[in-house]
Amino acid sequence: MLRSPTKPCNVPGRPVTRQGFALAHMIFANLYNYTGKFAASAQSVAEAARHYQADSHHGSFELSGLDLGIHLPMARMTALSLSGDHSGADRDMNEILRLAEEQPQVGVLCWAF
Amino acid sequence: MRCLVERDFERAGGLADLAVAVATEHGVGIWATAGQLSQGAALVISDPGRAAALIGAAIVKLDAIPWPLYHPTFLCFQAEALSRLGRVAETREKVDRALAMIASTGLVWWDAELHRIRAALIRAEGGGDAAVREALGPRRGDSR
Repeated sequence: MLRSPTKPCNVPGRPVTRQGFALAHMIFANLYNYTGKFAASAQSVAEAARHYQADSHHGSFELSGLDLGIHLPMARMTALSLSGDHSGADRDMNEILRLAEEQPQVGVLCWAF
Repeated sequence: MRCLVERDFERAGGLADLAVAVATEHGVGIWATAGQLSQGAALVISDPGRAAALIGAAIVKLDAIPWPLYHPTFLCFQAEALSRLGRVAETREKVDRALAMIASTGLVWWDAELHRIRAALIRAEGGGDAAVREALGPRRGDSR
């Protein structure tokens, strides 16, 4: 469903535009990751995090099926894992599983596993 | 997926089991299939026969939807399992299919691991170091 760029999402008082930017950067992060441009992917994740508003992940799921609140630590975990920081990746993994258990979407929970 | 990247198969298998259980309980078929792929990959060393069968069955389901993201990754795990079973021709078939998908989609993120399996395959087919270098070395005009 297309939404107006100024129409509030399901989080009162928070316009959809910043989530839209975060989402767009996350889409690029995925594109860069799967096409092997890992540094560019990490940069896009950082940009997405800059636009992301904490606790707005249910809104991002409505926009895209992508839960940014969980996807951001997921992307960071991947970058840490690839750079050999396994304890850092473990921290993010625990955070991902905690967030996934708390949110209501079954698909997101399965994806996080 | 991180656990599969790091080849932490025990943890990967546990998480895959959870994903399949939750997805099956709620009837989310695509995630049950994705979980089955990870279950298979997690068995690639401990039970390569079951790994190859699980991944093969899940890939058939995955073929039905236009979502090629994970095909090369799990074709690679399936090829590794088949290679461990000494099924060289089937290994070659999976590796070639993964390479063709990568060439057509540009999804190169699993390339390094696929080339590792490809090198082992060339040796299993009787090739030596020169054949591996010839197959995996930079191609003319390839800037990557």
